[in-house]
Amino acid sequence: MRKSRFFWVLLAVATLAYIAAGFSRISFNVDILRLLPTQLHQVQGLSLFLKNFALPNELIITVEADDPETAKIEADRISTLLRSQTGLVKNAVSQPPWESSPASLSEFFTFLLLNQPPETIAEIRKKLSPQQTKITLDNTIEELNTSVSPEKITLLSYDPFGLSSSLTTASLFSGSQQSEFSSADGKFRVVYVESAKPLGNYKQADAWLKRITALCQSSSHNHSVKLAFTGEPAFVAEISTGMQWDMITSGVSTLLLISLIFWLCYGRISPLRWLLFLLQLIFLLALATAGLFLNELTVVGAGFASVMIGLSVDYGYFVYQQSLHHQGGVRQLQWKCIQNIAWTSSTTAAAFFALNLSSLPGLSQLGNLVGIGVCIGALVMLGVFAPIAVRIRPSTNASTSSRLEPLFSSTRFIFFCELATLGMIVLLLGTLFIKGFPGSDFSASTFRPRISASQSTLEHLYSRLHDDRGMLSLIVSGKNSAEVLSRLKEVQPKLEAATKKGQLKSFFSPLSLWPDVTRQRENMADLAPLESQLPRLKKTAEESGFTERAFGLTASIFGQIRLWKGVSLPLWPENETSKWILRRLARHSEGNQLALGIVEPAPGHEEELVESITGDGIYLVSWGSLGDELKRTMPGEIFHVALALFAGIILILSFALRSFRAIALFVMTTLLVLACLAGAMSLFGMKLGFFNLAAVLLLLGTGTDYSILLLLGLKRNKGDVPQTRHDLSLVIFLCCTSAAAGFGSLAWANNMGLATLGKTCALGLLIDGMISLFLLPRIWPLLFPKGNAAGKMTS
Amino acid sequence: MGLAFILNTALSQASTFSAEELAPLQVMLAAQRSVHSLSADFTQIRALRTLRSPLLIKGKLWFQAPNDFRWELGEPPKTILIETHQGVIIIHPSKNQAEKRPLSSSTGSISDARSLGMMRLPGEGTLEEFQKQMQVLSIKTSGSRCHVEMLPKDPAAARGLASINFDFDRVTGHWLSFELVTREGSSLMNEFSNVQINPKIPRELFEYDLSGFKVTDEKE
Repeated sequence: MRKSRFFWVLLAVATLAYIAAGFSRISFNVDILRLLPTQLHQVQGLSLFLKNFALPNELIITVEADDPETAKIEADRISTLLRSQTGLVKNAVSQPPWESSPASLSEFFTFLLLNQPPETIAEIRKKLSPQQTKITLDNTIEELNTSVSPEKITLLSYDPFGLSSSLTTASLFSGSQQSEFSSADGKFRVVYVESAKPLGNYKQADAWLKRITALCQSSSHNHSVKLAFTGEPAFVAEISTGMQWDMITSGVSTLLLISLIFWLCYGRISPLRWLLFLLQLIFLLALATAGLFLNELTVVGAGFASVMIGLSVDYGYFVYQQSLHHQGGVRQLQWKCIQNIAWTSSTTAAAFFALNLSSLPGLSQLGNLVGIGVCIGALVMLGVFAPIAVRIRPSTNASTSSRLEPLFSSTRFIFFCELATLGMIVLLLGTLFIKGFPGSDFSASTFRPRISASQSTLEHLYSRLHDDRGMLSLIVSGKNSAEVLSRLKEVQPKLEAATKKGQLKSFFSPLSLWPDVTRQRENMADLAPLESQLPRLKKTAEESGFTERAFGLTASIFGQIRLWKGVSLPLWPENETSKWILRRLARHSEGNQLALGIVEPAPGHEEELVESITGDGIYLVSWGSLGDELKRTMPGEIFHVALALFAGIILILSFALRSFRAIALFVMTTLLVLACLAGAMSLFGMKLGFFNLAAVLLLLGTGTDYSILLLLGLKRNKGDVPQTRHDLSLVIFLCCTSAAAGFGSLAWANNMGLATLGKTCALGLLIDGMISLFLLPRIWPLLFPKGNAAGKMTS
Repeated sequence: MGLAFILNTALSQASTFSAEELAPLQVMLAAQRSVHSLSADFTQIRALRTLRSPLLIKGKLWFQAPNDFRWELGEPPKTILIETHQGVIIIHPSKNQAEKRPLSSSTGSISDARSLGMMRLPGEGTLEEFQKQMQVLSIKTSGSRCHVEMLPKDPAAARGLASINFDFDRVTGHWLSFELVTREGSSLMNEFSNVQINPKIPRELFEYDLSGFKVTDEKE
């Protein structure tokens, strides 16, 4: 006795340590692309974009007021306040850096100048030659006097030699009122806030966001000003904490529903208490195992936790139901249950683990997580719950039966259920016939939270500033700078050709920004000697009527060229203004060279553009194109996995049932369930998407158990339908309702993908349960007439 | 838009000015209502901080209600700006070049013209509308000349500006000069002369034969 107690204490301590170790390693990833096949071009490109240009440490604060002055004052106040919080914030910016410090632009101008083609540099050298200088300056004066462009006047007055006139990226610094900082009317402003330290995980992002939010809101005394928060840290915090909430609520509601079902069925508290405790233990153990052995969990993957509970409880029901009629000891009960549980749990777990055959990491994760949960559930129910069930089983025979058993023994109830099942089938197949298959939706919105303040803020920001949602991002990657440049040159004629064909409206290629080492070397050699000419140039400028102030940019550019002389190539500008300009255009760390451009497609030409432009290391991507690619590839991918899964089940069943007609009945039942599910989806206006298709695989893994159990029962009972119903109706009812409760609880999840998956699975399981329980036994005698069945099935 | 825009918006914060002080402005606005067409000569003075002395150039302008406008810089014209309901054309005759821009363009002539003081002279503005959109910084009168310093409330129009200075005859309501002063310290001023109110303006003035010109169109 003492030895046994010591064993249980030791087991409890080890379990707690295991759970603690597993939970300490869990990391959630909110990147939905981690769910999708990595070989897809759009997934690769968007992953590169998110990894390199999504700025994980940059929060976007939007400031909206009734008038532009208030909005500006408030935006400036927030940026000043946050900049003073050096422990929290590295930088907070409410206007382009060059507006407060125009001189800082000279470094970037020099960088662009050194990247120009030889003819531009020859033109500049000519303009600065002793014979041409005076003429150049006179032309500038003429331009200053007759131009009607304020931008041109401003630029030329500070660049009298026109060094910047050849630069094609002047639009980056245009004086347009609408920018990434302000709407055209000035009433909507944006502050970009970078965290002082990298935000390593969602908890850090959430804590940091809360502190920033509190600071901004507590310091704001103007109630007419609306502040909102978006950007990567806001998304990470919102999605992850939302998933936490989804997991908790769906887990708790599943447990409540299971409790209700158990109470209705058995009316006993003591076993229910143990069952609930063990289900939570299974949940914790499964998550801890995932934390220890899986690299990371996507937030969507973690949302399947309630599914594990819904599936594991099946074994608990089975053990408890068997214990009620069991007269022997624990070992005998365990042995009695082990064959059935091992059979069902191993096929279910195998089905889920088989999802690793899919190229979808999301499905693999789902399969691994639920497969682990099912195995742990079977072990815990057999190893822990069976001894408890024997210890607490009621002593009198009166209370050994379930309250629902008489119901399932009633022929009237069965007849009513058969009619209801038939009615359901007619309704759903009729709907399918009339309305057709459900429509499809593979858009990125199906992966997002249903209610998202960050997403709403981002969409409002798009509507007030520049809306680039219809644009395609051009991402060019390479092992080194030269490879990126070569690919940019390769894509340029394709973009120009597409423009001529009318496939795209406009594009911005980062080619002019990407350093060309040859040009930089040659231009440096050509321009550096001109520094010695500065005194002459300055004297001529003054003689032509310019002040010393007009000469600042020219002197800075040549000063910068001198500073860069001898620096290893390729050159990259490094001051704060240059970094700000390049932050969404280029990445140039060792081994990670990327350039980002924008393409505005002509409506209806997105697909052909993507096909014609993309190549090795060249990606033309958007969330819309991802949806199109998923729509093209996912149904086929899921179909192949489902086929493999189904074939595996058929193979196993062919050993177990050893009857062609029984297998045919199983296949027909499964096809009927899937057809009815399609009809139900059409009826309820649900759309086919990534998660619905995944739900089909789940149904194949779990729902088919009901028909398998019944077919095996019929085999065991030599085709005796009433006896099989008596043995299995209650168990199948309990399994079906609790699994449906597990999935159904996800229907209220904030994450739309999880909710869709939950709804589809719950519907499918209920349909599967009804058809297996009430239709399959009706068809059985038709396939196996009396006297024939027993012989055929047991032979 | 144009002057109407400026004038319709300029007195928004005039609450610091008494009705008596604002009276000349009201007279000028009332006078604008009777302007259906206009022609004037002007001298443009661009005093840039990067230049030792201001740049002077003479020019002419024509306006025909409701939207036709022609602005010529230089004699003979070096830059011509024609604005009609169809859009804006900026012509450089000596270079045989022209730029076409839509009216709504952010870099188009409306903002350019506004920034450079090329204001049309419609006269439908009322003091109330004017006050909604403009902030009057000061009003001074000297004899028949009234000098108003103001700033548009619209940040697109006010961008980079320290003030808009506007002189008019407070008896006739006619414009005398219009000046933009930038925060950087430069100024762009137009002094008007030979102002003719409601003359007959030939329709051809708002058209231009661009044969042989290299034309760039912002819409394309």
